[in-house]
Amino acid sequence: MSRVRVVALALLLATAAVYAGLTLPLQRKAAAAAEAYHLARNERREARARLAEVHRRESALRRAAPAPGGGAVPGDPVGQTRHGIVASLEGAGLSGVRLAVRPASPPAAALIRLGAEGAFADVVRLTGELVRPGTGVVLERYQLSGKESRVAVHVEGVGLQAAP
Amino acid sequence: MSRPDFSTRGKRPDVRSADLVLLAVAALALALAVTSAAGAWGDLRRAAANLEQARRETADAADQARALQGRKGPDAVLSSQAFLTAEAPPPRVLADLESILPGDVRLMTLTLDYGERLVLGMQLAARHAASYDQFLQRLQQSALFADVRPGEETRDGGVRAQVQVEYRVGRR
Repeated sequence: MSRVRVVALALLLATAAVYAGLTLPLQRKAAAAAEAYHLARNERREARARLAEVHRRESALRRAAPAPGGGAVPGDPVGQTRHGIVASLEGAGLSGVRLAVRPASPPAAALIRLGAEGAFADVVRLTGELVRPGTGVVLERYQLSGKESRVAVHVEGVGLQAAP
Repeated sequence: MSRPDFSTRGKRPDVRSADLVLLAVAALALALAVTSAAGAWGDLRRAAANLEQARRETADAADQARALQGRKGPDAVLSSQAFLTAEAPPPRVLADLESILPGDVRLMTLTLDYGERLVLGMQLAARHAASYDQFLQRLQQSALFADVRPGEETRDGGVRAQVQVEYRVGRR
């Protein structure tokens, strides 16, 4: 066998050794690390989403409070809450409306109890109006019951004081 | 006619071109193996650094969330209710429920309890038992709903049943 062939054979053996002993294990480790990073990235996204939710929960009361001076009865949060709900009810096309708004202990300003009946679409529209940002209404319990398109709604919640 | 070789020097080995090609291929293969090992080493270091950073940031975010949750004030429940009212008002929850409600399953009663979590209580009627089962399956598969708890049910051709489920905000 010529010396060149011996050298070539030695190089091929070295190639096999490098590939099997170094390249393949490193590639396997890199793939495993990439997979672990993929999972960790998802965990990081979820952790950040949880943190953002905690921040939003913290600031929810401030954001839900009605704008100062937005109601018809300044300095009377119960009257202000009631006025806002009555305004939402006007023209809503609902019947059998029962509304009670009473003073509540801080940070809530008013306790709200509302019952009404009407077409499903009207009831849902009223609900959206009641809790839209700026009304200061926070829900505790919401119940819909009924058959076909006519439903009864019962709402329990609180009204917040206007932000200072 | 070739001339006879009377030289007394040793004859140089005859290096054939096939051997040279073999040598070149072997050298190239070794170079490729080394390059590929270096590339894999680089990938490994990059992935390990990214992994370390992602884990550190995850732990930081989790610590911050725990710290914020740990200093709950007396307004915590009201704050949570305000958050859920804003993020999951009844029209939105109804729309999400409707999107997974099979055609012949009807909601008889729906109660939304806003607290630390938003928990839905439902009384349903379905003409076919299979439709109710399909609704349960869709609830369980949906990212919007969790902790599905089927309650009492009566089956006589159709189904009347109660289900309790948690609505998860921020999953739309």
